[in-house]
This record gives sequence, C-alpha cells and structure tokens, in this order.
Amino acid sequence: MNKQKESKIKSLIKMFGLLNGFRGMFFLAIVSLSLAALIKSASFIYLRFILDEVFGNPVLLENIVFYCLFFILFLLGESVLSVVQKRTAARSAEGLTKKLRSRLFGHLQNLSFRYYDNAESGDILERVTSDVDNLNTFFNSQATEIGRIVALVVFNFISLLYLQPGMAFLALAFIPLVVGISIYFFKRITQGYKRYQEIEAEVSVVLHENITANRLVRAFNQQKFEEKKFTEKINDKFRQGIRIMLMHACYWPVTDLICFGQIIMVLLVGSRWALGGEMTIGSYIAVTAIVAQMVWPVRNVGRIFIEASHALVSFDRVETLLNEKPEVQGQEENGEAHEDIRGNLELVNVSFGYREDQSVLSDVSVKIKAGEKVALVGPTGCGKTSLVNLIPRFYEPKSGYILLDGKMLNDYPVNTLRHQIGIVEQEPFLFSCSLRENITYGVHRAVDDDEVIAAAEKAQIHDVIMKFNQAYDTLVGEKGVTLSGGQKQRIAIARTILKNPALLILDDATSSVDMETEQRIKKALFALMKGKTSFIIAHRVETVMRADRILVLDKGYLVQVGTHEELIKENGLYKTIFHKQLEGFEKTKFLLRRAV
Amino acid sequence: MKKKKNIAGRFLVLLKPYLFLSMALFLVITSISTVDAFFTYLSKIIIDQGIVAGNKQVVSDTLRLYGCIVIGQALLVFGLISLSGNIGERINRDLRKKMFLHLQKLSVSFYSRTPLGEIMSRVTSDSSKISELLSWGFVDSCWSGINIIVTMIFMFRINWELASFVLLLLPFMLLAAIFFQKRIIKHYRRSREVNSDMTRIYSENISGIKTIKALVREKKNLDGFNVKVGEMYKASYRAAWYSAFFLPVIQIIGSLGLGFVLWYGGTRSPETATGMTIGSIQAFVSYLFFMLWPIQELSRVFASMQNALAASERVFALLDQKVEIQDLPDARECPEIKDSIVFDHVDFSYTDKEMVLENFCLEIKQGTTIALVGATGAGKSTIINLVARFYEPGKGQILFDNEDYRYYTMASIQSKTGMVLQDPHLFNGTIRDNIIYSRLDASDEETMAAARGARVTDFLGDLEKGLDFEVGEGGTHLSFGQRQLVCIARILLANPEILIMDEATSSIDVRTENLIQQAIEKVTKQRTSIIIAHRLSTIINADVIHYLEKGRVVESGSHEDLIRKKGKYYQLYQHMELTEEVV
Repeated sequence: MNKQKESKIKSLIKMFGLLNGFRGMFFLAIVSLSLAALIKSASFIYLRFILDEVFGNPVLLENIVFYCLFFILFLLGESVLSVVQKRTAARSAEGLTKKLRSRLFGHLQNLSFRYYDNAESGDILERVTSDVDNLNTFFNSQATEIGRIVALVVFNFISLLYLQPGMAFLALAFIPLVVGISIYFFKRITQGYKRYQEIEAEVSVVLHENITANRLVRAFNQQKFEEKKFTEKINDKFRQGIRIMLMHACYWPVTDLICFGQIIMVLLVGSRWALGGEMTIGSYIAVTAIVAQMVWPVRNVGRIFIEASHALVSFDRVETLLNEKPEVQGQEENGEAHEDIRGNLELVNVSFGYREDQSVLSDVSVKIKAGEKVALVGPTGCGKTSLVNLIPRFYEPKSGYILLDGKMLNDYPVNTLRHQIGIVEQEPFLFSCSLRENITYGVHRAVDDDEVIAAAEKAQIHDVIMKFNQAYDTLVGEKGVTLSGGQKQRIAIARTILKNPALLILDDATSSVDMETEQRIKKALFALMKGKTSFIIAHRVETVMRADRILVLDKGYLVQVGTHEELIKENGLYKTIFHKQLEGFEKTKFLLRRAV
Repeated sequence: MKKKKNIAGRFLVLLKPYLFLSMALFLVITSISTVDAFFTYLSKIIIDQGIVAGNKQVVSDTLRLYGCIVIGQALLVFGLISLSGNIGERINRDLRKKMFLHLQKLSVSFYSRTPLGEIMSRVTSDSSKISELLSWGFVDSCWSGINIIVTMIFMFRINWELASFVLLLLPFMLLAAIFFQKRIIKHYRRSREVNSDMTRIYSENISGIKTIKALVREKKNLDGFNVKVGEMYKASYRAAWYSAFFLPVIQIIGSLGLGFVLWYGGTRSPETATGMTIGSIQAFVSYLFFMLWPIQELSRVFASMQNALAASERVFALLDQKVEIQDLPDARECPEIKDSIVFDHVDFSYTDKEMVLENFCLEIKQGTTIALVGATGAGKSTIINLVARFYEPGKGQILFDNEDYRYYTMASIQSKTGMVLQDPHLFNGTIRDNIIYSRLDASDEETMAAARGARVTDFLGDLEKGLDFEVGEGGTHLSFGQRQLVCIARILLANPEILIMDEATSSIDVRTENLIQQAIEKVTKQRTSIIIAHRLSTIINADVIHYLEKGRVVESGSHEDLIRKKGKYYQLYQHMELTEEVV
C-alpha cells in the first residue's frame, strides 16, 4: 500500500516533468491565480472598510465615488489576473501537449515490428489520443483548479483570521466533511459512468451489427429478435442512467444541506456577535460573504481529485509507450551513399523466430544473383513471409546473416536499404490522400505529372483513374472512393515503379479480381520485375512456372531449390503440391474431354 | 422558419408522454430560483431588522425560517435532478427505440447508400443530444430565465430606481455573453475536428506502418502530422483565450453596476428616508453576482442550441426516411413454389443514371442449381438482390409460379429464402447462437445436425468449447472459411426453399476449401439454388450456368454445353484453370 503510494507520488513528480520548457508559463499561471484569490479576499475586507468607516463618516462619504471606483479596481484586478491565469495555463498545457503529440508520433513510427506484433492497435491509439487529452485537461484545468481552491481556502481563512479569528475556525468546521463526501461520491459516480459508457458501447455493438448485417436480418426475417436484443440493451442503459441520476440526486442536496448548515452556523454566531457589539456590521457582511466563497467550491474537490488521478494513470500509459525501444537504425550517421546496389543477395545459415522459443526459419542458406526472379513456394506458415521480412530488416535474424552485394545487411543504414527495396503486398495499404499522393508516396523528390501518369500506365491503372471525376486528385478512403483489391494492388505497383528499387518483394495473390483485371495485374507485375532481383510469394501455377528459380519452404526449412523443370522431376514437396493441383485439373480435364 | 416550428412541434410530441413530469419540473425550477433569491432577502432582513435594529427576536426567527427553507431547498434539488434525469433518460430510450424500429423496416437500398457511421451517430450521439436538450437544456434555460426574472423582482422590491439601472445593463451582459460563447464553441468545435483528423492519421500510421517503413516515409509523415498538431494548438488556444475573457468581461459590466450601487447607496446614506439600508446594499450586491451565473448558462444554452437543432434535424430525417419496399395492403402468404422463378422483362437501376438490368428475362426451375458467372458489374448481385426482394424491379415483374411476388408478404418470401453472402457475417456470440439465428426455436439435435451437415463439426474439434465457442465481434476468432461454413450450417438449419449464395473469392486454405465444397454440395441438393459462383467446382456442378455481361445473359447451359460452344465461358474456364491456386 505504502509502496503503491510512493510510486504514485513518483509518477506525479514525473508527470510535472512534462512541463519542461513551459515551467515559467505554468508558474505564472499559479502566481496569478493565487494573486486573484488574494485580491478577492482583500476586496471583502475593503468592503467592510466602506461599510463601517466610509458610510459612518460624513467626511469620507463625500468621496464615495472615489471609494467605489477603488472597489471596481479590485474587481478589475481580479479579472485581469484570471485572464492571465487562464491564458498562461492554456499556453503551457497546449504547448506541452503539442510537444508530446509530436514526440509520440515520431516515436510510433520508429518502433519495431516486434512491438506492433504484440500491441493492439486500439490500445496504442487510445494512449496517443485520449490519454494525451487527459494530460492536457489536467494541466489546463485540474492542476490550476486545485490551486485555485487551495488558494481561496487559504487566503479567505487568513482574511477571516484578520476579521474575526473565532469565525475563521468556525467557518472551516464542515469543510473536511464536504471534501470527504465529495471524494467518496465522485469515486462512486465515476465507476457508474464507466459502466454507463460500457453499456453505451454495447448498444453500439448491437446497432453496428444490425446495420452491417441488414441483409441477413431481413433474409432470415429476424427483425423481432433484433429488436428484442436492442431493447434489452437500451433498457440496461436506461437503468444505469437512472442509477447515476439518483446518485447525483442524493449528493447535491446532501452537500447543499451541509454547506447551508455551515452558512447558517456562521450567520447565527455572526449575528449574535454583531448584536453584542463584538463585531461591526461591516465585518459581519464581509465574513458571511467570505464563508460562501470557501464553502461552495469545495464540493467539486472530489471531482477534480478523481480526474487528476485519471491523468496520472494516463501518464503512466503514455510513459510506458515512450519507453518502448525504437528499432535498430544501423550506421545512420556515417553518411555513406549506397546508390549503386546491384542486388546480389546471400543468406547464410539464417534462423528466425518471432519469439525466443519459436523457430520460424531454420538454417536457411541460399545465394541469389542480381536480377534473378525467385518464387517462394510452400504451405501456409512455412516461413515465406518471414523470409522476405528479413530483407528490408523489418526483423533481424536470430542467427546467421544476410549479405547484400557482399556486404553485411546490418552495415547499411536502414533507410538507405529500404530505399532500394520495393514491396507489393497482397492487400496493399493506401493512405487517405489523393491517388497522386498515393502513387508518389515512396519517392522523395519532386515528381511531375508525366512521370506519375507513365507509372500508372505501366501499372495498368491509368484508365481506371481517369474514369474518376477528379482523376489523379481523387481521394482514397472514407472521404473519397473505395478501391477494389485489384485496383489497390495496381496503385501499389505504380508506387513501386516510380520508386524504382533494386530489389522487389511481391505477393502475387490476386484475390477477388476478375479475369481481365488479373491479366492486367500480371502484365504490370512483369513490367515491374524486369531486371530486378525479385522475391515472389507465389500462389499460382503460372507465376511459379515463370520464375527463374523456385525456393520450396517447409516448416521453416529450405527443402528444395531449382527451376520448375528440375523440381518436377525430384521426389519432393514441390511435386506433391503440383500434383495435388493437377488432381483438381484432372477432374475438369475429364469433363472437358467428354464435352469436346 | 417553418422548419424550426416543425422541430419545436416534434419536440412537443417527444415530450408528450412526460408532460406532467415536465410541468412538475418547471414548478420545481421556479421554486428553486425563488428560494435562492429569498435566501439573500432573508440575510437582508437579518441585517436591517435584526442586527442594525438590535432585535434579537427577528434574527433568531429569520434564521429558523432560513433553516426550514434550506431543508425544503434540498428536497427541491433532489426533485430537480430526478425529474430532469428521468425525462432525459426516458426520451432517449424512446427515441432510440423508435429509430431502431424504423431502421428494421427500411429497405436494403437505404443501407447501401447511407454510410454506416452516419446511421450509428444518428442513433447514438444525435439522439443523446436531443434528450439532453429536452431535459438539461430545458432545465438550464428555464432556471436561468426564471432566476434572472425572480432576482429582478426582488431587486425592484428593494429599490426600483437601482433595479431599473440593472435592467438596462442586463441586455449588454447577455449580448457579451453570447458573443463569447459563440466563439468559444466555434473554436472548440474546430479543435475537435482537428482532433479527429489527428486520430485518423494516427490510426492510419499504425495500420500502415509496414508500408511507411518500406517506403521510408517516417520523416515526411512526422512533418505532416506536426502541421496538424500546430492547428490543434491554435484552435485550442483560441478557445481558451475567449473563455479566459468571457467571465471577466461580464464581471466588469456587472461591477459597473456594483460601483453604481455603492455610490448610490452611499450618497443616500442609510439614515435618509428614501435611501438604502446596509442590508439592502448587501442584498443588491449579492443579487448582481447571482445574475452572472444564469447569464453564463443562458448564453451557453443559446450557443449550443444550434448544435442540438442540427442533431435533431438529422434524427428526424432518419425517422422520416420512407420505407421503399412494403407489403401491398392485400398481400398474401407466399405458397410453396412448385414450378419456377421467372424474371419477366425486368428493368432495374440503383440510381437514375445507369441501368443495371434492361428487359432482363431468366427462368429458374424449381429444384435446380444455377450459377451466375461474369465480370464485376455484369449484374450478378442485382439478380440475387431482386430475388430476395431487397429491391423490386423498376419495370417488368418477378414471378413465383406465374404470380408477381409483390402480391406476397415480405415475411413469407424471406422465410423461403436463405442467404449466404460473400462476406460471411457472424454475430457476436457462440457458434450455436449463430447457427440458430435462422431458426431460433431449433432443438440441440437439429443444430448439431446442421453443424455436421455443413462440416462445422470438422473444425470444432480444434476449438475447445465446440458449439459454445465465442466467435468474437464480427466472427474474428474464426477464419474466413470457417465463418463461411457456419453460415452454410445456418441455411441447413433453416432449410429454405431457395438458396441464394454469393460465393467468396478470398483465398482459403486447401482443407477448409474442401470442406466448403462438400458443404455447398449438401446445401444445394434438392433446393432451388442461385449462386454467384467463383469456384470452378461450384460452377461445374451447377445444372445451368448463365454467363452475364452488362446486364444480359450471353450464354447459358450446362458446363459441357458451354465448353462445346467455345464461346466466352470457354475462355473464362481456360483462364480459371490456369490460375487455380497452388497453395
């Protein structure tokens, strides 16, 4: 328990470390809010002066305008300070959030694939968005809010001591009670809201399912059932809503009673003292006003504390993310240019696993000449994808090494290396920007329209693009067009053509495209592969047969290497796979023969 | 203007069941405001008639009254929160239920033209905005309005000249408040927009990380992101800027009034007959401060009103959405189909622009399996959509045994058809839940038989809990092929007269592929089946193959007939054979 507290305090201190660079600003915010509270207290004392001294004195009363103006000055001063406080707080909070966001984004991009393999994207997203927002509100409001309440209580207490020492302690009597109740209540209510939001999310899930499956619901005539599901959920939500409402309905009147009790006590004692002449009328009025200033804000202490504790949790989550080690960068700084990579690749005893105890590739050795087209074949999970992932150093081999043009892969800076490798995935990822930007996404120089169009033409996608209303400026994704799998693939091919790398990695699966499209994709791919060292994760007979060499992988071992003609003669996995395929054909061939 | 009236009218309709509660709420709010103002008045009495006059009796009497009122006030606050909360939650529930019911009636065409997110946000956040407006928005605006009025009345009671002066100040304070609120909300909204942009960029960067690294885009992307972060900073800072100025400005206007009160009270010293007593001055000062809060609230409600109104327009638009396909008034139950389903010169288009089917004729004999093949956009999906009556023909008719299917009820047609869609959709729940979705009253034996028939049992062994395995949201815990098998089991359980199937094109591993093929053979047996086919085995096994091109059947017949013909189908077939998957 104690340790837990200690670590909490430690992270609290660390959290304030985020203020680095904005300390002066934040300090100014604290100073001005304290001053504002001080002035507020002082204005009540001044009010007493007006009521007691000025009103009772005809000489001073003649200058009443002056005294009134002076009073306004107090209020003005308080206003100005509150502006300064909010401004500086916003400056520091927004500033530090800006810095943090930018840092997080850069950090995310540098994290290794290992990290992404194990993390859930929803969780990462939450850390960089809502957790950062929580930190923002903490510095923007909760931190200053706590400061304000503390300053108000302290300064008002001092003023009371000055005005009527006895009253000061009386006025504080109920405050601890209110703070206690407040913290208890807000703890409970936060839990209640959390549950409420969970239920709301469940409502969304049911609704989401109902909408996406609208055909299914109709096809099976299950509208009634769906209604029942939904009604149950919104009834849950309703009940939870009422529960929360009742908590509020109890908290506020109860604290009302306590706070008013406090005020009545002060009025009672104050009026006794005023009647008995122990207190002037001015003091009486000032004291009652000050007590109101102290009592009401305290009711929110619980809320602020709970929110602040959330910020602390958020900070821990953000901190953990920031502490993740970025991927190895290689000798980035030696500035050596490797423009003339030819593409001779050699794998020497390469073993690899995603986890320590796992072996996805075992002892793979193979030499690939520049310009060679290599097809990778093998059942799902045999290590094809893992093998090609090692080449751009998305992962590092567990043992063994890879040579590129006779030089260790690790000696190339990661960025230089990746500039020379093009990847076309089965489901390429397109970004929600224009088609042109998607095509030029991988080139780091100015590209003119002709070049873009030439690449698109080679990739067999130009005429598709021209059919869109805004041609190359058409946006991809939510705000624009949805592209089919085949179209996406061709955009990715155009992107790679423009990048013009020395090495290629292709996934030739062309799922869900019709015949014509498939032919075009094939054409585009062959155009792309010309003269480049290419790795093709092969799914189709046609591709396999056209490769210069075939690597057959089984359970992480490289079991066969050779051309189609060579391998078909060997008794091995390749032959089995090929025959299985043939079997399927046999049946249709038979039908065909019968038909003709 | 008329539109606004319309919305107000519809709000009343929503409030109607809670008219009594709302009236009670209004009374409670009025009492609370009055009591609040009365507290200050009591303080004045204590000062003037008690302390200044030296009357102990008045002081203790008034304080006793004060105490009683406090208890009453606490009860009123309880009433306020529970009434308002109740109205809000209830209206929200009503509204959502209403929208959901309506959504169940809307036709498929509505769903295909309306983005999912839009429907979702209307049912969830927009409906909440309305219920919030009708509960807390109502409370806030009533409370503020009444509070200002009551406070003014008390002020007038104390001194009408001063009160008139404050009344003059009031519009300025309100205007200033609205001015600021509008800007705060504007910048705040802008910052939310930028925020959602940022979230989008983040999530794109997370899911596209491989591409980004492969294309070495890290630095450029960071630069792009920093621009957004800068925008965010600006928008949030501006919103903070305005809200920092907001209260001080109102306070300054208020303190003008305050200075005037003090000056006025001072010059007409307490002793003069028409002058103000100390208690009155104190009360006036409190009243002035009292009014700042309602002004702030009122301006907030006004400024956010626009937002809520826009939300309600969206909600009402959804509720007004016409149901395109409905039963005719005298629709009958559809009897068993004995002979055939016929497309009789059907015209159809999704939009006005492009005809998908024109003068389309097709006969599907009862009990046969037909395969539809052809390029994307040939009209294959349209045909199955029409058979399931998700859409109706524009011209021409679809005949079930020579009777236009529009004379039958939707429910009876849909209970005859079973669908397997291209993207096999599973609901969050167990495999069992998903299979019995087609017939909720099925017994365990029947469910098991269906699962066995569709070869679901073949992979159940791998799953620990068998049929009670949780499939996860959208069925993500199962592979694509496995999901498809569950969908087929669903059909076997329902045992519909007509099977409509849009075959998946995604690559599936060999083992599951074989299972699927067997399951399809089983499910199409003895049943009229219309299949958009992509797999060679399905196509070859069909009784009739229709090759479609641009909304027309260009070739039809059995596989052998078409091969012999050496036409378009023959070409397609040769191509498919060559590109069958290796792995």
